[in-house]
Formats: sequence, C-alpha cells, structure tokens
Amino acid sequence: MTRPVDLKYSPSHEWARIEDGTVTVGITDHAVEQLGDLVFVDLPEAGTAIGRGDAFGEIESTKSASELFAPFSGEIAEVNSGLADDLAPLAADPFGTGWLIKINISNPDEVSELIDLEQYEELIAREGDH
Amino acid sequence: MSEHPTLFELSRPGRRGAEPPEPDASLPSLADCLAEENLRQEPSGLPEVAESSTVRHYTRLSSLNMSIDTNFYPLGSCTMKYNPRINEVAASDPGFSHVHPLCEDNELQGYLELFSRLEEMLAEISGLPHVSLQPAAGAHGELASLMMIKARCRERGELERDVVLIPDSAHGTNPSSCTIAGFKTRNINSGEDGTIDLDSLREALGPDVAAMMITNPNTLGIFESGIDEISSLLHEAGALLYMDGANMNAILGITRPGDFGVDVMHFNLHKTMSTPHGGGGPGSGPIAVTDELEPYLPVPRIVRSEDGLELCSDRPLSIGKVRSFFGNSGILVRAYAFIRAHGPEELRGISEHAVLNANYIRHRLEQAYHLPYDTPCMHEVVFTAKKQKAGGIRALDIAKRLIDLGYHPPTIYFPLVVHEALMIEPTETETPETLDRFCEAMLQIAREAEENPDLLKAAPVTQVVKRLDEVNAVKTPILTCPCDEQPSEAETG
Amino acid sequence: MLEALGLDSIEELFTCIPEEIRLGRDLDLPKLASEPEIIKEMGSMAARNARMDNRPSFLGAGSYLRFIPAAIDSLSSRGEFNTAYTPYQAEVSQGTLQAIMEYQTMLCQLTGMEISNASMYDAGTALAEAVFMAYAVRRKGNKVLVSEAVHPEYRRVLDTYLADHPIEAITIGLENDLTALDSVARSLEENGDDVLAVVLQNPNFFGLIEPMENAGSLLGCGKGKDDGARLDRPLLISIVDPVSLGILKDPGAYGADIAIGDGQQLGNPPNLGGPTFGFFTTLQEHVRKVPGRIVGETVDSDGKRGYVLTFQTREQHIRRERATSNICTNQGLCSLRGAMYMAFLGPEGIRKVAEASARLAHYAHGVLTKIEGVEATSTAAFFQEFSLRLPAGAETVYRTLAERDIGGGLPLGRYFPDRKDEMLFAFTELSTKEDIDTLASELALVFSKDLREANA
Repeated sequence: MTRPVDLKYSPSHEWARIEDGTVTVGITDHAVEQLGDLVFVDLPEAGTAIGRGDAFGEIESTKSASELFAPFSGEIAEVNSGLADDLAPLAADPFGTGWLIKINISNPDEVSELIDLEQYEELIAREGDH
Repeated sequence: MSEHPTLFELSRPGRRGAEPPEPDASLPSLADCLAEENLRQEPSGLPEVAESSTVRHYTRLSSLNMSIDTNFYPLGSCTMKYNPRINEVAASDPGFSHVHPLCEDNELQGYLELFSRLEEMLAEISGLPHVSLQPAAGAHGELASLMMIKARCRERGELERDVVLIPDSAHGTNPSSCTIAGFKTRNINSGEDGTIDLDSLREALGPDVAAMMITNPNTLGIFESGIDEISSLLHEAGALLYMDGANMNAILGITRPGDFGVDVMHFNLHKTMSTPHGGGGPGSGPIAVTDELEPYLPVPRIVRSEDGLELCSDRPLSIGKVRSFFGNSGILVRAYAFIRAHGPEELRGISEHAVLNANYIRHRLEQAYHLPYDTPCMHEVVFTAKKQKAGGIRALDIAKRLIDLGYHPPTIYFPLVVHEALMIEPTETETPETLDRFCEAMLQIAREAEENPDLLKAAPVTQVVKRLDEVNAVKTPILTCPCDEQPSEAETG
Repeated sequence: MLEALGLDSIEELFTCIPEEIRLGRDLDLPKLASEPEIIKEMGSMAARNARMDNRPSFLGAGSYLRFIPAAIDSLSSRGEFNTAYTPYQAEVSQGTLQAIMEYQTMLCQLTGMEISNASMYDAGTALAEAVFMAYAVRRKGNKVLVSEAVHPEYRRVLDTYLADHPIEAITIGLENDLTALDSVARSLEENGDDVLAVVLQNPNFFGLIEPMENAGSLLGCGKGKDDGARLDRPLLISIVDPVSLGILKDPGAYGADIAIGDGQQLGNPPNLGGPTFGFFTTLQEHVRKVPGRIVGETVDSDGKRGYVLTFQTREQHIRRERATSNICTNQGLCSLRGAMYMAFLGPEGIRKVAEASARLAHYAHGVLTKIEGVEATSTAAFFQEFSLRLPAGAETVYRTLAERDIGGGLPLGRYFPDRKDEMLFAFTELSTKEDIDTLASELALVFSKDLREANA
C-alpha cells in the first residue's frame, strides 16, 4: 500500500490529515497489519474534549489491545461510527474510509510534534530489526 | 448430533444422574416454610442426564485434553512437572477436606500445625523470615504484596511513591496487579544479554518509585546476575524489591531471594511445589517478607500461645483480609506433602535437574532454532522462529505441529520482548529419553519448515478439532450452549 | 547429559549466580520422608481437626457440608483434567474447554443471568471484582452501598481491595436483620449519581430472604434492557447461594446486573474454606468488562464446532496494566466439580436438595425456639439458616456442645461484637431430624442447668 505523502504521522502509528482547523485521524496500514485480525474498536462520543497524546479509544484483535492516541488537542467533532459494526473499511482502506475520528483542534502548533512520511517509514523500518 | 454432544444435547426430560437423600416425610412442607412469592416459578433449565451418560460424557471430554499425566508438557513459565499422587492421598483425608472454616482454633490444631510448619519451610526456602499462606494464586500474592507496599508508603507518609518499575519481560499479572493496588507502572528495558539494563534502571529510579517487580531467573530463563546491584540501587532510593516467584524451580536450595535483597515475594505452589494445575486452578500464592513488612501481612496470622496455635486478626497495620476464610488450604496440604517427600537434598536436586534438562534442550536445538540471547539459561530456554520465518513459518505453526507429534506446545509469543518466542521449560521430572524424543521432534519440524511448510501450517490434524477461528468467536460471541433443543426420546435413545 | 554439554559437574550450570549470594549449605528443612511416613505424619495432623462428617454439625455461614455424588471424586481426579494447564492451546484442551462452556451455561440456567466467566478465587474476591466491574461499566460514581447483611468475610475482602481505590463502600444497616431498603433509598437520594452499585446478599448472612424484587425496582433494574437504552443507574450486585436457587427466585428474575457467589456447595467439600470457587455471572452487554477467563464456541478450519478462550484482550496477559482484573490462575478444578454437581443433580436434584434443607431448617426453628429462653432474632422468612438469641454466651454454648460431640452453630459475636448471645444455625439435606432433636435436647439441658445456676 502506498502511504499518502500529504499526511502527518505519529510514532504510535496514527496519521492526521489537517484541513482548516479540523483534523481527520486514523491508524496506518502498518499498524493494521501488526494488529492482525481486527475484532473491535472503541471510539469516543462526539463533543468529548481531548488532549494531545491522550488515549481517545482502543482497538483490538483477538490477541492484542492497543490504545489510540490523539495527535492534537481539541474536541471530537465526528466519529466514524460505522466501524463499530464493521471493521472491514479499516482493514481495507485505513487512510480513507477507515478513518477513526475528526478533531476540532485547539492548537495548530502541535503539528510540530508529528513526523512526515519519510521519517515514519524510517521508524517502522528500524522496528523490524528486533 | 455432534461427536461430542454437550450435556444439553444429551438432556432428556425426567432423567436423573444422582439422587440426594430423601427428607423425612413428617417435616413441614415447603409451602409451610416459604411463601409463594419467594419461590422460582419454573425449575431451572439444568440438563437432565442419567448417571452413566454423565460419567461417560466427562470421561470422553477428559480424553480430549493433553495433560502431564498423558504427554510431555514443556510449557515455559508454567512449570508443568509431574504431580505426585501422595499429595492427593494426603489431601483427601476427611480430617483436612471435611473441616469447616469457622471451627474454633482448638478444633483446628492439626491444620494450624501444618500451616505453621509450611510457613517455616517456605521462610527457609525463600530466606525471608515471615510467610502468609493466604493468597489463592500467584497474581493474588502479587496483589497482596503490592497492597502491603502501598500500606507501608501510607504509614511512612510517602504516598508520593506511586510508581512500580516493571521489566519489559514481566508476566502480564505484574502490571495488572499494580493498577489494582493503586500504582502506576514504569517500564524497564532488557539489555542486550536479556537481563535488566542497569542504566535504564538508574534513569527510571526517582523519589516517586515505591518498588520494582522482578522475576529471577527472569522470563527469558536468565538469572539476573546483577541482582545485588539492583537491590542496592532500589534500597538506596528508598524503594523495595518484589520478586515474582514463578521461576523458583530454578533456584531451590541454591540461592535465596532474601539473600539477594528481595523484600517480598510470592510462591506459586502449583508450579514449584507440584500441586496440580487443575486445567486452570486452583493454585496457591503464599508470600514471604522481611521483618520490616511483617506487620502489613494479611490477616489472620498464625500465632503460638500457651494453649497452642491461634489465628490472630488483631493486627492494626495489616492490609486486612485478601480472601474469605483462610486460603486454598487443600493446596497447602499438598505442598506440605511435596516438601516433606523431598527434604533439603532433593529440593536442591529439583533445581539442578530442571536446569540441566533445559540446558540439554538448548544444546540440542541451538543449531536448528535461533537463540535470541546467548546467555546461559536456567530452568527454561527461549528460542524464536526467526530461522523458520523466512519460509513463512511462525512460532504458532511450530507449536501446532508439535501437537501432531504428541507433545504439548511450549509457551509461544511470550515474553513479549522476543518476537516469535518459543519458551521451553522441561522441568526436573522428565527422563533423558523423553527429552531426546522431544528434541528429535523439534529437529524434524525444523526440517519440515523448509521442506514441507504446508504440513506445519495445516497442523494440527490429529486432534478432535483443527485450528479454531478465534476471530469468529469474538465477532459472533456464543458464550453459553444452546439449551432449548429437546429432541424426542426416539432420536438417540 | 553433562557430557553432551561439555560439563564436569552440575555446579557449572550455576556459575551465572554470583558466589556471594549462593546458599552454600543445605536448606534447614526436615529430612525427606517416605510415603508411609508422610501418611502417618499428616494423618495424625488431620486427626486433630474437628470434622463435619462424623458428628452432627450446624456450622454454615458460607461453607456447607452437602451430599457429593460419588462419581465426582473419580471423574475430577482424572489426570487428564487435574494435571492439564489453562486451556490456552485450544486444540489439545477441548475437554476442559467444553466442560467450562457447559459450566458457564449451567450457572446461567441456575442464576437466570446471561453470561458467566470460568471462575474466581471465592465469593469474597468475586465481590471485589464485581464492584470494580460496576465502576468500569457505570463510568461515573465512586460510592458502593453494601448491606450489613452481606457476609462479613466478603465485606472485609472488599474493604481490603478498596483501600487503594477511589471507590468508597457505605454500609447499609439492618431492620429485623434484613437490609433496610429505606436506608438504601435515602442513600440513593443523598448521593445521587455518585452511587455506582448496591450490593445485597440473598439469602443474607443471617439466612434471611431479602426483598430483592423491591431492591430491583428501587434501582430501576430491568428497564431499558430490551430497547437497548444506555444504562444510567446504579448496578444491582446480588450475592447468591447457588443451591438456594433450586427453589428461590433467581437474580435474573429480579433484574440483577451482576450475580456472584461461592460455589463450594456445588460438589466441593468445605476444605477449611478453600479451595472452593467464586462464580461470576452478568449480562451479555458487559462482556468486555468481565474479569477472568471466558470460553466461547466457534468452528475449526473444517467448520466443525469447537471451543476457545475468548475476549482474551480483557485479560492481564494481553492488556497488562489496563486489564479488567489481574486474575490468571483461577479455581478451575473446583468449578469443574461444580459443573459435574449441576449435571448429576439436574434441575430436580437441586430443587430437592434446596427443599430438604429448607424443610429441615424450619423443623429445627420450631423445635429450638420452644426451648425456654431461646428466641428468634428476626421474624423474616429464611431459607436454611437462622440465628437465635440464647440465654447464655454463644461461645460458651459452642464449647459445651463440642464437649458433647456436637458442632454448634456460629457464635455471631465473632463478627458482630454486640451479638455475643446469638448463634447462627445452618442445616443442609445431610442434617437429620434425629440430629436436630439431639441438638435441641442438649441445648435444653445446658440452658436449664445454666438457668438453675443463675437462679441459685
């Protein structure tokens, strides 16, 4: 899968698409692959306040449970609620229809904490060394 | 009907498996005892099965299990050793099994004597002077210990110490117990040799640290040779050292936690002291502590008075009760029998042979399987499936293929710091012939991984079921047997 | 083997342990004993314990001597069950897994609840876990109302677990030895959304039947369940005696959210209180918050039915510090015996056991309250246990009875300092009319002597 170059990434495998004060957040194809067969995602309700680095939800396969971390502070604007019933979009299209939440961000400067695609790909290449 | 019908599928109206005693007809009737409003409207939906069918049902089910009694079971971290029958005979004495927990102390002198001696034995084995036998399992012992550490912080006005350090190779129960006891956890990395990285430890230590939980030997089967320094670092920082005793089978009579600076530890009697695992329990997780921590031990404590032994609950600093009544007494009785049957010489012999057996397996398999750490192992050895992974074979496939060759698989994917881990713990009770046959099977699988990987991926094929769909089990949960089928008498007779 | 490893002695395997910390001597333990010596030594210890099965005995309070079908000992001691590990490797553990699946199902049939886990350590720890689960489900509130008629042992365990937790337990007092529901109502009003759960035991510690349906309606239990409305009320945690459910209304009927209890009575001897097992049942919607292991049904790669441990991401080995509980080892073999007990007795057998216990207890109540100076402490309905106020200290009475080879009831002063003259008597299907008559005549004798002495 080709990863979009226009997104920002986090070391904890979230991606962020920044558009006019609203950020769409998902997890990368690499994260999806590492998790294995996805069975459950727990997402917050719209309107919830969230801080950068806070866990906003959780995603599970049969043998793992990972927290999802917010790349920006703000308020949850929208949730991809369809995922609760069907995780197929997340597995098939993690950068598109498999998005997780949208955040009305309160501090655009937090973008400096994120990394670009090149840095992200270096990071996951190093992970494979263990 | 399925090859192995459930009790509900076997159920036929009116059948009965056992007949309880008939009450005297002259007793008051139920209607005279209880008002209609308190009574259930319909009988419970339990199955109705004849005694012979129920006996056959459970006997057949038992035959679907692998167990120590039937197979070599080298499940790392679990110490699946032979469970001597003498333990069972001793525990089945009605003078132990048919005793009520609320008898007066003077009616329990046999039990209290046994407990008191067992406490002394575990104190000697651990090198820690005080023991509580109450925790019901290893994780329960961890929790009780962490509660004691918390109580000590509270007593000393040090509640700002709210962090417990945990190595990345730790059992999952360690961090989980911390949360319940109100601690946060901080991760300590393993170094290149698989032992705790002292620099990482120094960096993590601070005035907010209450304790560190270690396992020694650790879950990689490696002795923490820097343990003296680890305990000094902690104690200098005002923190305590906790030891998860899951791996005591490696060090009985060789070294003692109390002698290498441990302040509090738990035993797993169902591992080290051979009490049966029972398909998941019951276990027993006694804890041993220093003089300093003794006042915090759970109640009741056993104390000696001029009238004999007594249970004492008047202990102001105690964390309180960690379970109802006393402990898993029946397991304590078995462990006592085991220690008596071994004595000091043979207890040491247990660890010598457990370590020898693990090193023998390490030696025989080190060419065929990747060893993530070069350090010599103690009672268990961790390999990985790295060499096989190139051909698309994972640790899981190796494990499942072992089943077809008649062996219970080793622990896989643990510890988490090792990718594709295969953790083998042979224990002391296996013969060299068994170890050789197991090694031959492992070598055969390594060859098959190259020559016929599909064989591994399809395994197991010799059991009642093949690989099970765990995704489906979560996505479409069926957590009780369907109960509404009531086939007619004629259908199965 | 040493040779294969290129070693001269076993000592060399331990060089990784620094010399300074090696023991360097034999452990100071008794010399090893042979099997006959062990049997003799341990047999003589066992002989110094008072048994329930060789004399009339009226102790209960959470641990009971009951009829155990003979087949249970022989089946549960099969090595294939007893010496197997936790069924993580499903293909080689189908026996244990199917047995747990059936156990879960039978407990749900008995309790009227929807799902069950594979077991907890005991009722006390199951209560603590239930309160933690209610906290996680409710997501608000930090107060739990606990009836004073909940077994004191369970309440003490809960207190220990809550010591380092933001949840506060508030004790609800008694009226006629029953939970004072108006106090519950008042506390609910005072504390509002801060109340996360209410804990009641039925029959309660004193053997009495609590107004569970009223408690359920007070909390609004059962509402919103069918239309999927989000739960917004305190949870009802019900501690139940599983055998009583042979005749009494089940927790499902009064809308309990969590039903727990001790399974000792289901096929396990008293064992000095352990090992037994705690059972834990609840509603399907809470499955992700349940502590401990759960078995589910699925299919294998050929589509054949099989069983696995499921929803494992809740558990400590995966979720670590965020797990729903730290429990790993549970009480598997004891719960297997529990399953066998339910299977052998069936609905009719358990009904008969419960009914016989209740009828014997009511007979005893009639006989014992006729003794001069003895009176019931409550007028409420009871199941198989009740407390009586005696004309002498209950501890003394217990000892006097013991001298006459009778196991008396529980002196309540042990748990309730202001109840030193009360004794809690328990009866099961193994009690006999003759034993009860003996108890009554001995008590009458003791008290007439006491009264004579007091009057002299």
